[in-house]
Amino acid sequence: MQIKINSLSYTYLAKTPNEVEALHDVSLEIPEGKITSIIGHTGSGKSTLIQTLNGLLLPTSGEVHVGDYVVTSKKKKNKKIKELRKSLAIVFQFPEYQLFEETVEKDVAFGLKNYGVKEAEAIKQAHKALEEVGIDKSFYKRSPFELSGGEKRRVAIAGIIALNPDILVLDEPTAGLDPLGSKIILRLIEKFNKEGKTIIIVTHDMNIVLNYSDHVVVMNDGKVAFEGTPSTLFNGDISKYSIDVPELFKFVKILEVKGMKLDLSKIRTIDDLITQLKEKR
Amino acid sequence: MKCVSIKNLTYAYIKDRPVIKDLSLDIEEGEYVSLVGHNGCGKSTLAKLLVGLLFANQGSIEICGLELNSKNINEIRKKVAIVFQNPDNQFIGATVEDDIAFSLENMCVPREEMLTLVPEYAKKVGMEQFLTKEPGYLSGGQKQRVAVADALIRNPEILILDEATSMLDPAGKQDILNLVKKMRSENPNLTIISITHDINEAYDSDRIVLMHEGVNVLSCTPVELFEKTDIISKYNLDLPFVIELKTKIKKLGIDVKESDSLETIGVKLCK
Ligand SMILES: Nc1ncnc2c1ncn2[C@@H]1O[C@H](COP(=O)(O)OP(=O)(O)O)[C@@H](O)[C@H]1O
Ligand SMILES: Nc1ncnc2c1ncn2[C@@H]1O[C@H](COP(=O)(O)OP(=O)(O)O)[C@@H](O)[C@H]1O
Ligand SMILES: [Mg+2]
Ligand SMILES: [Mg+2]
Repeated sequence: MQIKINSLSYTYLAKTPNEVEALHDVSLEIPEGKITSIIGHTGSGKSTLIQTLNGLLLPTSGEVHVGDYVVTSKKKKNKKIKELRKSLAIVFQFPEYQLFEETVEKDVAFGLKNYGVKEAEAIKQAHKALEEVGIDKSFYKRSPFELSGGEKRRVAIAGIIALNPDILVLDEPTAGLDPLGSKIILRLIEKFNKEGKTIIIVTHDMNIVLNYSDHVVVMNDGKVAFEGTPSTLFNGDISKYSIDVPELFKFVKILEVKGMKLDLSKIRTIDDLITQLKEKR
Repeated sequence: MKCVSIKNLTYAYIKDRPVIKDLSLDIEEGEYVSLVGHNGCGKSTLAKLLVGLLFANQGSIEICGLELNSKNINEIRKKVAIVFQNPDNQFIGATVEDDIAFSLENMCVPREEMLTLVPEYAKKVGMEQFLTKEPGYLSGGQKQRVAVADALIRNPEILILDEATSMLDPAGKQDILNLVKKMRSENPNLTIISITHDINEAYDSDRIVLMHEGVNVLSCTPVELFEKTDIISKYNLDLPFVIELKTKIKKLGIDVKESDSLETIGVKLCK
Protein backbone atom coordinates (compact mmCIF):
# COMPACT_ATOMS: atom_id res chain seq x y z
CA MET A 1 0.00 0.00 0.00
CA GLN A 2 1.24 3.40 -0.92
CA ILE A 3 1.29 6.37 1.41
CA LYS A 4 0.82 9.82 -0.03
CA ILE A 5 0.49 12.91 2.09
CA ASN A 6 -0.86 16.11 0.55
CA SER A 7 -0.46 19.56 2.15
CA LEU A 8 -1.05 18.15 5.60
CA SER A 9 -1.29 20.54 8.53
CA TYR A 10 -2.11 19.72 12.13
CA THR A 11 -2.80 22.13 14.97
CA TYR A 12 -3.21 21.04 18.59
CA LEU A 13 -5.75 22.96 20.68
CA ALA A 14 -6.89 24.78 17.55
CA LYS A 15 -8.68 28.08 18.09
CA THR A 16 -7.51 28.39 21.69
CA PRO A 17 -4.82 30.75 22.99
CA ASN A 18 -2.55 27.71 23.44
CA GLU A 19 -2.73 26.40 19.89
CA VAL A 20 0.40 24.75 18.48
CA GLU A 21 0.85 24.13 14.77
CA ALA A 22 2.70 20.80 14.94
CA LEU A 23 2.64 20.11 11.18
CA HIS A 24 2.68 22.73 8.47
CA ASP A 25 1.91 21.94 4.82
CA VAL A 26 3.60 18.55 4.76
CA SER A 27 3.65 16.73 1.42
CA LEU A 28 5.39 13.37 1.24
CA GLU A 29 5.42 9.99 -0.38
CA ILE A 30 6.56 6.99 1.62
CA PRO A 31 7.94 4.32 -0.70
CA GLU A 32 6.08 1.01 -0.62
CA GLY A 33 7.93 -2.06 0.59
CA LYS A 34 10.89 -0.05 1.86
CA ILE A 35 12.25 0.99 5.25
CA THR A 36 11.81 4.72 5.84
CA SER A 37 13.25 6.55 8.86
CA ILE A 38 11.73 9.74 10.18
CA ILE A 39 14.19 11.86 12.15
CA GLY A 40 14.36 15.36 13.60
CA HIS A 41 14.78 16.95 17.01
CA THR A 42 12.22 16.69 19.82
CA GLY A 43 9.09 18.64 19.03
CA SER A 44 9.68 18.67 15.26
CA GLY A 45 6.39 16.84 14.62
CA LYS A 46 7.40 13.20 14.14
CA SER A 47 4.90 11.65 16.53
CA THR A 48 2.13 13.91 15.29
CA LEU A 49 2.91 12.91 11.70
CA ILE A 50 2.73 9.17 12.32
CA GLN A 51 -0.53 9.51 14.23
CA THR A 52 -2.19 11.19 11.27
CA LEU A 53 -1.23 8.27 9.03
CA ASN A 54 -3.97 6.06 10.45
CA GLY A 55 -6.32 8.76 11.63
CA LEU A 56 -5.49 8.67 15.34
CA LEU A 57 -5.24 12.40 14.73
CA LEU A 58 -7.35 13.93 11.97
CA PRO A 59 -5.67 16.56 9.81
CA THR A 60 -6.57 20.19 10.40
CA SER A 61 -6.19 20.55 6.65
CA GLY A 62 -4.83 18.44 3.82
CA GLU A 63 -5.09 14.68 3.54
CA VAL A 64 -3.32 11.36 3.86
CA HIS A 65 -3.83 8.58 1.30
CA VAL A 66 -2.96 5.07 2.41
CA GLY A 67 -3.80 2.70 -0.46
CA ASP A 68 -7.49 3.35 -1.04
CA TYR A 69 -8.10 4.92 2.34
CA VAL A 70 -8.19 8.68 2.68
CA VAL A 71 -7.80 10.43 6.02
CA THR A 72 -9.20 13.97 5.95
CA SER A 73 -10.28 16.65 8.35
CA LYS A 74 -13.90 15.59 7.94
CA LYS A 75 -14.92 13.09 10.62
CA LYS A 76 -17.79 11.64 8.61
CA LYS A 77 -15.58 10.69 5.70
CA ASN A 78 -13.30 8.54 7.85
CA LYS A 79 -15.67 5.60 8.18
CA LYS A 80 -13.27 2.80 7.44
CA ILE A 81 -10.77 4.03 9.97
CA LYS A 82 -10.82 0.85 12.06
CA GLU A 83 -9.85 -1.18 8.99
CA LEU A 84 -7.12 1.32 8.19
CA ARG A 85 -5.68 0.93 11.69
CA LYS A 86 -5.33 -2.77 11.04
CA SER A 87 -3.47 -2.15 7.76
CA LEU A 88 -1.27 0.58 9.15
CA ALA A 89 -0.39 -0.26 12.74
CA ILE A 90 1.72 1.77 15.12
CA VAL A 91 4.05 0.48 17.82
CA PHE A 92 4.36 3.42 20.22
CA GLN A 93 7.40 4.36 22.32
CA PHE A 94 8.05 2.05 25.27
CA PRO A 95 5.07 -0.16 24.30
CA GLU A 96 5.92 -2.59 27.09
CA TYR A 97 4.56 -0.07 29.60
CA GLN A 98 1.14 -0.87 28.17
CA LEU A 99 1.19 -4.63 28.66
CA PHE A 100 -1.53 -5.50 31.16
CA GLU A 101 -3.05 -8.95 30.65
CA GLU A 102 -2.23 -11.78 33.02
CA THR A 103 -0.46 -13.90 30.42
CA VAL A 104 1.73 -13.17 27.44
CA GLU A 105 -0.58 -14.93 24.97
CA LYS A 106 -3.66 -13.05 26.23
CA ASP A 107 -1.86 -9.75 25.81
CA VAL A 108 -1.01 -10.52 22.21
CA ALA A 109 -4.54 -11.82 21.49
CA PHE A 110 -6.17 -8.70 22.95
CA GLY A 111 -5.93 -6.58 19.79
CA LEU A 112 -7.27 -9.38 17.60
CA LYS A 113 -10.29 -9.80 19.83
CA ASN A 114 -10.95 -6.10 19.37
CA TYR A 115 -11.34 -6.89 15.68
CA GLY A 116 -13.93 -9.56 16.45
CA VAL A 117 -11.66 -12.60 16.24
CA LYS A 118 -12.98 -15.35 18.54
CA GLU A 119 -10.94 -16.29 21.63
CA ALA A 120 -9.59 -19.65 20.41
CA GLU A 121 -8.64 -18.31 16.99
CA ALA A 122 -7.13 -15.18 18.54
CA ILE A 123 -4.92 -17.29 20.81
CA LYS A 124 -3.84 -19.38 17.84
CA GLN A 125 -2.87 -16.29 15.86
CA ALA A 126 -1.17 -14.85 18.95
CA HIS A 127 1.04 -17.94 19.13
CA LYS A 128 2.02 -17.45 15.51
CA ALA A 129 2.91 -13.80 16.15
CA LEU A 130 4.94 -14.73 19.24
CA GLU A 131 6.81 -17.29 17.20
CA GLU A 132 7.51 -14.58 14.60
CA VAL A 133 9.14 -12.34 17.20
CA GLY A 134 11.12 -15.22 18.69
CA ILE A 135 9.37 -15.57 22.07
CA ASP A 136 9.72 -19.09 23.37
CA LYS A 137 6.62 -21.25 23.98
CA SER A 138 7.53 -21.56 27.65
CA PHE A 139 6.62 -17.86 28.11
CA TYR A 140 3.11 -18.01 26.60
CA LYS A 141 1.30 -18.68 29.86
CA ARG A 142 3.56 -16.55 32.05
CA SER A 143 2.94 -13.01 33.18
CA PRO A 144 4.45 -10.41 30.83
CA PHE A 145 5.96 -8.76 33.91
CA GLU A 146 8.35 -11.67 34.40
CA LEU A 147 10.08 -10.94 31.10
CA SER A 148 13.17 -8.84 30.46
CA GLY A 149 12.86 -5.38 28.91
CA GLY A 150 13.75 -6.65 25.44
CA GLU A 151 11.38 -9.59 25.68
CA LYS A 152 8.50 -7.39 26.86
CA ARG A 153 9.04 -5.14 23.89
CA ARG A 154 8.94 -8.11 21.52
CA VAL A 155 5.66 -9.24 23.11
CA ALA A 156 4.24 -5.75 22.55
CA ILE A 157 5.38 -5.88 18.91
CA ALA A 158 3.78 -9.33 18.55
CA GLY A 159 0.45 -7.78 19.58
CA ILE A 160 0.70 -5.49 16.56
CA ILE A 161 2.14 -8.05 14.15
CA ALA A 162 -0.76 -10.37 15.01
CA LEU A 163 -3.03 -7.90 13.17
CA ASN A 164 -0.95 -8.60 10.07
CA PRO A 165 -0.59 -4.97 8.97
CA ASP A 166 0.79 -4.07 5.54
CA ILE A 167 2.52 -1.08 7.03
CA LEU A 168 4.29 -1.17 10.37
CA VAL A 169 5.19 2.11 12.07
CA LEU A 170 7.53 2.06 15.08
CA ASP A 171 8.31 5.04 17.34
CA GLU A 172 11.86 4.65 18.77
CA PRO A 173 11.79 0.85 18.73
CA THR A 174 15.22 0.34 20.33
CA ALA A 175 15.17 3.06 23.02
CA GLY A 176 16.31 1.70 26.38
CA LEU A 177 17.30 -1.74 25.10
CA ASP A 178 20.73 -3.31 25.55
CA PRO A 179 22.86 -3.81 22.40
CA LEU A 180 21.75 -7.41 21.89
CA GLY A 181 18.08 -6.56 22.50
CA SER A 182 18.36 -3.73 19.95
CA LYS A 183 19.93 -5.99 17.36
CA ILE A 184 17.18 -8.57 17.78
CA ILE A 185 14.48 -5.92 17.26
CA LEU A 186 16.24 -4.49 14.19
CA ARG A 187 16.67 -7.94 12.64
CA LEU A 188 12.97 -8.55 13.21
CA ILE A 189 12.11 -5.29 11.47
CA GLU A 190 14.33 -6.30 8.55
CA LYS A 191 12.58 -9.66 8.40
CA PHE A 192 9.11 -8.06 8.32
CA ASN A 193 10.35 -5.82 5.53
CA LYS A 194 11.69 -8.77 3.51
CA GLU A 195 8.28 -10.41 3.90
CA GLY A 196 6.83 -7.40 2.08
CA LYS A 197 5.79 -4.98 4.81
CA THR A 198 6.43 -1.27 4.43
CA ILE A 199 8.30 -0.04 7.51
CA ILE A 200 8.42 3.44 9.03
CA ILE A 201 10.79 4.00 11.97
CA VAL A 202 10.89 7.17 14.04
CA THR A 203 14.38 7.30 15.50
CA HIS A 204 17.17 9.40 16.97
CA ASP A 205 19.73 6.71 16.21
CA MET A 206 21.66 7.73 13.11
CA ASN A 207 23.10 4.24 12.83
CA ILE A 208 19.59 2.88 12.25
CA VAL A 209 19.20 5.47 9.51
CA LEU A 210 22.52 4.58 7.93
CA ASN A 211 22.52 0.79 8.41
CA TYR A 212 18.88 -0.14 7.91
CA SER A 213 16.95 2.54 6.02
CA ASP A 214 16.32 2.92 2.29
CA HIS A 215 14.73 6.32 2.65
CA VAL A 216 14.89 9.08 5.23
CA VAL A 217 12.65 12.04 6.06
CA VAL A 218 13.96 14.88 8.21
CA MET A 219 11.35 16.90 10.08
CA ASN A 220 12.15 20.40 11.30
CA ASP A 221 9.64 22.74 12.93
CA GLY A 222 6.65 20.83 11.58
CA LYS A 223 7.93 20.87 8.01
CA VAL A 224 9.77 18.39 5.83
CA ALA A 225 13.37 19.59 5.72
CA PHE A 226 14.83 16.72 3.70
CA GLU A 227 13.68 13.61 1.90
CA GLY A 228 16.00 11.16 0.15
CA THR A 229 18.57 8.43 0.73
CA PRO A 230 20.68 8.28 3.91
CA SER A 231 23.93 8.75 2.01
CA THR A 232 22.63 11.89 0.27
CA LEU A 233 21.54 13.23 3.63
CA PHE A 234 24.78 12.60 5.48
CA ASN A 235 26.85 13.76 2.56
CA GLY A 236 25.07 17.11 2.48
CA ASP A 237 25.07 19.96 4.95
CA ILE A 238 22.97 18.74 7.84
CA SER A 239 24.23 21.03 10.57
CA LYS A 240 21.12 23.15 10.09
CA TYR A 241 18.77 20.34 11.19
CA SER A 242 20.62 19.71 14.48
CA ILE A 243 21.08 16.01 13.84
CA ASP A 244 24.26 14.03 14.37
CA VAL A 245 26.37 12.75 11.50
CA PRO A 246 27.15 9.06 12.12
CA GLU A 247 30.79 8.58 13.17
CA LEU A 248 31.36 6.46 10.08
CA PHE A 249 30.35 9.31 7.79
CA LYS A 250 32.54 11.77 9.68
CA PHE A 251 35.46 9.48 8.98
CA VAL A 252 34.53 8.95 5.34
CA LYS A 253 34.43 12.74 4.92
CA ILE A 254 37.95 13.00 6.34
CA LEU A 255 39.09 10.49 3.71
CA GLU A 256 37.35 12.41 0.93
CA VAL A 257 38.94 15.70 1.97
CA LYS A 258 42.30 13.95 1.69
CA GLY A 259 41.50 13.07 -1.91
CA MET A 260 40.24 9.51 -1.61
CA LYS A 261 37.42 8.62 -4.02
CA LEU A 262 34.73 6.44 -2.46
CA ASP A 263 31.28 5.31 -3.54
CA LEU A 264 29.28 6.77 -0.66
CA SER A 265 26.00 5.23 -1.75
CA LYS A 266 27.44 1.81 -0.90
CA ILE A 267 28.80 2.65 2.55
CA ARG A 268 26.45 1.70 5.38
CA THR A 269 28.82 -0.06 7.76
CA ILE A 270 32.53 -0.09 8.63
CA ASP A 271 32.78 -3.36 6.69
CA ASP A 272 31.45 -1.67 3.52
CA LEU A 273 34.17 0.95 3.87
CA ILE A 274 36.85 -1.70 4.44
CA THR A 275 35.70 -3.51 1.27
CA GLN A 276 36.21 -0.32 -0.75
CA LEU A 277 39.56 0.34 0.91
CA LYS A 278 40.72 -3.17 0.00
CA GLU A 279 39.80 -2.62 -3.65
CA LYS A 280 42.10 0.40 -3.67
CA ARG A 281 45.15 -1.38 -2.31
CA MET B 1 39.51 7.45 49.63
CA LYS B 2 36.85 4.79 49.19
CA CYS B 3 33.40 6.27 49.00
CA VAL B 4 31.40 3.19 48.12
CA SER B 5 32.35 -0.21 49.42
CA ILE B 6 30.09 -3.14 48.60
CA LYS B 7 30.95 -6.48 50.21
CA ASN B 8 29.45 -9.85 49.27
CA LEU B 9 26.05 -8.38 48.54
CA THR B 10 23.13 -10.72 47.86
CA TYR B 11 19.55 -9.71 47.15
CA ALA B 12 16.45 -11.65 46.07
CA TYR B 13 12.99 -10.21 45.30
CA ILE B 14 11.65 -13.75 45.40
CA LYS B 15 13.00 -16.20 47.95
CA ASP B 16 15.87 -18.36 46.67
CA ARG B 17 16.02 -16.49 43.35
CA PRO B 18 18.77 -13.92 43.96
CA VAL B 19 19.25 -11.23 41.32
CA ILE B 20 22.37 -9.84 43.04
CA LYS B 21 24.78 -12.62 43.90
CA ASP B 22 27.69 -12.18 46.28
CA LEU B 23 28.68 -8.94 44.58
CA SER B 24 31.65 -6.91 45.77
CA LEU B 25 32.78 -3.56 44.41
CA ASP B 26 34.74 -0.56 45.65
CA ILE B 27 34.45 2.92 44.19
CA GLU B 28 36.84 5.78 44.94
CA GLU B 29 35.81 9.30 45.76
CA GLY B 30 35.66 11.37 42.56
CA GLU B 31 35.56 8.32 40.33
CA TYR B 32 33.23 8.15 37.32
CA VAL B 33 32.11 4.55 36.93
CA SER B 34 29.87 3.15 34.19
CA LEU B 35 27.77 0.13 35.03
CA VAL B 36 26.92 -1.92 31.95
CA GLY B 37 25.20 -5.24 31.27
CA HIS B 38 22.10 -6.76 29.67
CA ASN B 39 18.55 -5.77 30.52
CA GLY B 40 17.66 -7.70 33.67
CA CYS B 41 21.20 -8.35 34.94
CA GLY B 42 20.51 -6.43 38.16
CA LYS B 43 21.83 -2.90 37.55
CA SER B 44 18.74 -1.04 38.75
CA THR B 45 18.41 -3.40 41.71
CA LEU B 46 21.98 -2.60 42.74
CA ALA B 47 21.25 1.12 42.41
CA LYS B 48 18.20 0.78 44.68
CA LEU B 49 20.28 -1.12 47.22
CA LEU B 50 22.84 1.70 47.19
CA VAL B 51 20.23 4.30 48.15
CA GLY B 52 18.52 2.08 50.70
CA LEU B 53 15.27 1.61 48.79
CA LEU B 54 15.91 -2.12 49.05
CA PHE B 55 17.82 -3.85 51.82
CA ALA B 56 20.28 -6.64 51.13
CA ASN B 57 19.68 -10.19 52.31
CA GLN B 58 23.39 -10.65 52.89
CA GLY B 59 26.54 -8.60 52.69
CA SER B 60 27.13 -4.94 53.43
CA ILE B 61 27.36 -1.51 51.83
CA GLU B 62 29.40 1.38 53.15
CA ILE B 63 28.82 4.88 51.80
CA CYS B 64 31.39 7.56 52.67
CA GLY B 65 32.52 5.46 55.61
CA LEU B 66 29.00 4.95 56.97
CA GLU B 67 27.46 1.51 57.01
CA LEU B 68 24.13 1.52 55.20
CA ASN B 69 21.53 0.50 57.81
CA SER B 70 18.28 1.88 59.14
CA LYS B 71 20.16 4.02 61.67
CA ASN B 72 22.34 5.76 59.06
CA ILE B 73 19.91 5.82 56.18
CA ASN B 74 18.87 9.47 56.53
CA GLU B 75 22.45 10.61 56.78
CA ILE B 76 23.33 8.57 53.69
CA ARG B 77 20.37 9.82 51.64
CA LYS B 78 21.73 13.34 52.07
CA LYS B 79 24.94 12.29 50.34
CA VAL B 80 23.52 10.24 47.49
CA ALA B 81 21.20 11.36 44.70
CA ILE B 82 19.70 9.07 42.08
CA VAL B 83 17.93 9.56 38.77
CA PHE B 84 15.73 6.55 38.04
CA GLN B 85 15.17 4.83 34.73
CA ASN B 86 11.43 5.48 34.52
CA PRO B 87 10.84 9.18 35.28
CA ASP B 88 7.16 8.58 36.07
CA ASN B 89 8.13 6.75 39.23
CA GLN B 90 9.87 9.71 40.76
CA PHE B 91 7.78 12.72 39.89
CA ILE B 92 6.16 13.49 43.23
CA GLY B 93 5.43 17.22 43.09
CA ALA B 94 2.21 18.62 41.63
CA THR B 95 4.23 20.85 39.31
CA VAL B 96 7.80 21.02 38.04
CA GLU B 97 8.82 23.66 40.61
CA ASP B 98 7.17 21.71 43.42
CA ASP B 99 8.94 18.59 42.38
CA ILE B 100 12.37 20.20 42.30
CA ALA B 101 11.74 21.97 45.63
CA PHE B 102 10.55 18.69 47.13
CA SER B 103 13.93 17.11 46.61
CA LEU B 104 15.43 19.72 48.96
CA GLU B 105 13.24 18.46 51.78
CA ASN B 106 15.26 17.35 54.80
CA MET B 107 18.27 19.15 53.38
CA CYS B 108 17.84 22.16 55.71
CA VAL B 109 17.84 24.74 52.93
CA PRO B 110 16.37 28.13 53.96
CA ARG B 111 13.26 29.14 52.07
CA GLU B 112 14.77 32.23 50.40
CA GLU B 113 17.61 30.16 49.08
CA MET B 114 15.16 27.56 47.82
CA LEU B 115 13.29 30.23 45.86
CA THR B 116 16.40 31.10 43.90
CA LEU B 117 17.80 27.56 43.64
CA VAL B 118 14.71 25.98 42.06
CA PRO B 119 14.53 28.20 38.96
CA GLU B 120 18.33 28.08 38.68
CA TYR B 121 18.35 24.27 38.45
CA ALA B 122 15.28 24.19 36.20
CA LYS B 123 17.27 26.44 33.87
CA LYS B 124 20.33 24.19 33.99
CA VAL B 125 18.25 21.33 32.56
CA GLY B 126 16.38 23.55 30.09
CA MET B 127 13.02 23.39 31.89
CA GLU B 128 12.74 26.97 33.09
CA GLN B 129 9.66 27.57 30.93
CA PHE B 130 7.81 24.67 32.48
CA LEU B 131 8.04 25.58 36.18
CA THR B 132 4.31 25.63 36.75
CA LYS B 133 3.45 22.68 34.49
CA GLU B 134 1.98 19.45 35.83
CA PRO B 135 3.65 16.13 34.98
CA GLY B 136 0.74 15.13 32.71
CA TYR B 137 1.80 17.87 30.30
CA LEU B 138 5.40 16.70 30.04
CA SER B 139 7.02 14.20 27.68
CA GLY B 140 9.14 11.35 29.04
CA GLY B 141 12.29 13.25 28.12
CA GLN B 142 11.10 16.40 29.90
CA LYS B 143 10.37 14.40 33.07
CA GLN B 144 13.88 12.98 32.84
CA ARG B 145 15.28 16.51 32.74
CA VAL B 146 13.31 17.40 35.87
CA ALA B 147 14.61 14.25 37.57
CA VAL B 148 18.17 15.33 36.80
CA ALA B 149 17.48 18.76 38.33
CA ASP B 150 15.99 17.00 41.41
CA ALA B 151 19.23 15.10 41.85
CA LEU B 152 21.71 17.88 41.13
CA ILE B 153 20.05 20.52 43.31
CA ARG B 154 20.83 18.34 46.34
CA ASN B 155 24.52 18.82 45.64
CA PRO B 156 25.26 15.15 46.31
CA GLU B 157 28.58 13.50 46.99
CA ILE B 158 27.51 10.51 44.93
CA LEU B 159 25.32 10.80 41.85
CA ILE B 160 23.69 7.66 40.44
CA LEU B 161 22.25 7.90 36.93
CA ASP B 162 20.11 4.92 35.93
CA GLU B 163 19.67 5.26 32.15
CA ALA B 164 18.88 8.87 32.92
CA THR B 165 18.88 10.04 29.31
CA SER B 166 17.13 7.09 27.62
CA MET B 167 14.15 9.21 26.54
CA LEU B 168 16.08 12.23 25.31
CA ASP B 169 17.12 12.99 21.75
CA PRO B 170 20.87 13.16 21.00
CA ALA B 171 21.07 16.91 21.57
CA GLY B 172 19.15 16.65 24.85
CA LYS B 173 21.31 13.79 25.97
CA GLN B 174 24.47 15.74 25.22
CA ASP B 175 23.08 18.69 27.21
CA ILE B 176 22.67 16.49 30.27
CA LEU B 177 26.07 14.83 29.87
CA ASN B 178 27.71 18.24 29.54
CA LEU B 179 25.88 19.44 32.63
CA VAL B 180 27.13 16.46 34.64
CA LYS B 181 30.64 17.04 33.30
CA LYS B 182 30.47 20.66 34.40
CA MET B 183 29.29 19.68 37.90
CA ARG B 184 32.21 17.33 38.06
CA SER B 185 34.77 19.92 37.01
CA GLU B 186 33.39 22.29 39.66
CA ASN B 187 33.52 19.54 42.26
CA PRO B 188 36.21 16.94 41.45
CA ASN B 189 35.15 14.92 44.50
CA LEU B 190 31.76 14.17 42.98
CA THR B 191 31.48 10.43 42.44
CA ILE B 192 29.36 9.28 39.50
CA ILE B 193 27.85 5.87 38.93
CA SER B 194 26.20 5.81 35.55
CA ILE B 195 24.11 2.91 34.26
CA THR B 196 24.02 3.01 30.49
CA HIS B 197 23.69 0.97 27.30
CA ASP B 198 25.51 3.61 25.30
CA ILE B 199 28.99 2.26 24.89
CA ASN B 200 30.34 5.53 23.51
CA GLU B 201 29.19 7.21 26.72
CA ALA B 202 30.76 4.47 28.89
CA TYR B 203 33.99 4.90 26.95
CA ASP B 204 34.32 8.37 28.52
CA SER B 205 34.26 7.13 32.10
CA ASP B 206 37.20 6.24 34.38
CA ARG B 207 36.10 2.66 34.81
CA ILE B 208 33.54 0.23 33.43
CA VAL B 209 31.94 -2.40 35.62
CA LEU B 210 30.35 -5.19 33.63
CA MET B 211 27.51 -7.07 35.32
CA HIS B 212 26.00 -10.36 34.25
CA GLU B 213 23.21 -12.20 36.05
CA GLY B 214 23.77 -10.38 39.32
CA VAL B 215 27.52 -10.83 39.34
CA ASN B 216 30.26 -8.28 38.84
CA VAL B 217 32.16 -10.01 36.02
CA LEU B 218 34.75 -7.44 35.25
CA SER B 219 35.92 -4.04 36.36
CA CYS B 220 38.59 -2.18 34.37
CA THR B 221 39.29 0.92 32.31
CA PRO B 222 37.40 1.31 29.03
CA VAL B 223 40.62 0.85 27.05
CA GLU B 224 41.37 -2.41 28.86
CA LEU B 225 37.82 -3.67 28.37
CA PHE B 226 37.74 -3.12 24.64
CA GLU B 227 40.99 -5.04 24.22
CA LYS B 228 39.30 -8.14 25.62
CA THR B 229 37.64 -9.30 22.43
CA ASP B 230 36.53 -12.58 24.02
CA ILE B 231 34.56 -10.68 26.71
CA ILE B 232 33.10 -8.33 24.10
CA SER B 233 31.67 -11.17 22.06
CA LYS B 234 30.70 -13.35 25.03
CA TYR B 235 28.58 -10.59 26.58
CA ASN B 236 27.38 -9.10 23.29
CA LEU B 237 28.80 -5.66 24.02
CA ASP B 238 28.95 -3.03 21.33
CA LEU B 239 32.35 -1.66 20.45
CA PRO B 240 32.82 2.11 20.42
CA PHE B 241 33.06 3.22 16.80
CA VAL B 242 36.73 4.26 17.00
CA ILE B 243 37.78 0.93 18.48
CA GLU B 244 35.94 -1.12 15.85
CA LEU B 245 37.32 1.06 13.08
CA LYS B 246 40.91 0.81 14.35
CA THR B 247 40.70 -2.96 14.75
CA LYS B 248 39.43 -3.43 11.21
CA ILE B 249 41.92 -1.00 9.68
CA LYS B 250 44.80 -2.71 11.47
CA LYS B 251 43.78 -5.89 9.66
CA LEU B 252 44.48 -4.12 6.36
CA GLY B 253 48.11 -4.04 7.47
CA ILE B 254 48.14 -0.39 8.50
CA ASP B 255 49.98 0.57 11.68
CA VAL B 256 47.28 2.23 13.81
CA LYS B 257 48.04 3.32 17.35
CA GLU B 258 45.82 3.57 20.42
CA SER B 259 46.24 7.33 20.52
CA ASP B 260 45.61 7.96 16.80
CA SER B 261 42.79 10.39 16.05
CA LEU B 262 40.44 9.80 13.09
CA GLU B 263 42.42 12.50 11.29
CA THR B 264 45.71 10.62 11.79
CA ILE B 265 44.19 7.33 10.64
CA GLY B 266 42.94 9.19 7.56
CA VAL B 267 46.45 10.42 6.80
CA LYS B 268 47.87 6.90 7.17
CA LEU B 269 45.20 5.44 4.88
CA CYS B 270 45.67 8.04 2.18
CA LYS B 271 49.44 7.62 2.02
N1 LIG C 1 -1.24 16.68 23.00
C1 LIG C 1 -0.61 17.82 22.67
N2 LIG C 1 -1.14 19.02 22.99
C2 LIG C 1 -0.53 20.17 22.64
N3 LIG C 1 0.63 20.24 21.95
C3 LIG C 1 1.21 19.08 21.61
C4 LIG C 1 0.63 17.81 21.95
N4 LIG C 1 1.43 16.83 21.48
C5 LIG C 1 2.47 17.45 20.88
N5 LIG C 1 2.34 18.80 20.95
C6 LIG C 1 3.28 19.80 20.39
O1 LIG C 1 3.38 19.60 18.99
C7 LIG C 1 4.71 19.76 18.54
C8 LIG C 1 5.19 18.48 17.85
O2 LIG C 1 5.23 17.42 18.80
P1 LIG C 1 5.55 15.92 18.41
O3 LIG C 1 4.82 15.55 17.18
O4 LIG C 1 5.30 15.11 19.64
O5 LIG C 1 7.11 15.99 18.10
P2 LIG C 1 8.25 14.86 18.10
O6 LIG C 1 7.58 13.52 18.08
O7 LIG C 1 9.04 15.14 16.87
O8 LIG C 1 9.06 15.09 19.33
C9 LIG C 1 5.52 20.13 19.77
O9 LIG C 1 5.62 21.54 19.80
C10 LIG C 1 4.68 19.62 20.91
O10 LIG C 1 4.91 20.36 22.09
N1 LIG D 1 9.97 -5.59 41.83
C1 LIG D 1 10.45 -6.74 41.34
N2 LIG D 1 9.91 -7.95 41.70
C2 LIG D 1 10.40 -9.11 41.22
N3 LIG D 1 11.45 -9.20 40.35
C3 LIG D 1 12.00 -8.04 39.96
C4 LIG D 1 11.54 -6.76 40.42
N4 LIG D 1 12.30 -5.80 39.86
C5 LIG D 1 13.20 -6.43 39.07
N5 LIG D 1 13.03 -7.78 39.12
C6 LIG D 1 13.83 -8.79 38.44
O1 LIG D 1 15.17 -8.68 38.89
C7 LIG D 1 16.10 -8.85 37.82
C8 LIG D 1 17.02 -7.64 37.74
O2 LIG D 1 16.27 -6.51 37.36
P1 LIG D 1 16.89 -5.05 37.21
O3 LIG D 1 17.73 -4.77 38.40
O4 LIG D 1 15.77 -4.13 36.92
O5 LIG D 1 17.82 -5.24 35.94
P2 LIG D 1 18.51 -4.15 34.97
O6 LIG D 1 18.35 -2.80 35.61
O7 LIG D 1 19.93 -4.58 34.87
O8 LIG D 1 17.81 -4.24 33.65
C9 LIG D 1 15.27 -9.10 36.57
O9 LIG D 1 15.18 -10.46 36.33
C10 LIG D 1 13.92 -8.52 36.93
O10 LIG D 1 12.89 -9.18 36.22
MG1 LIG E 1 7.82 11.84 19.49
MG1 LIG F 1 17.44 -1.10 34.83
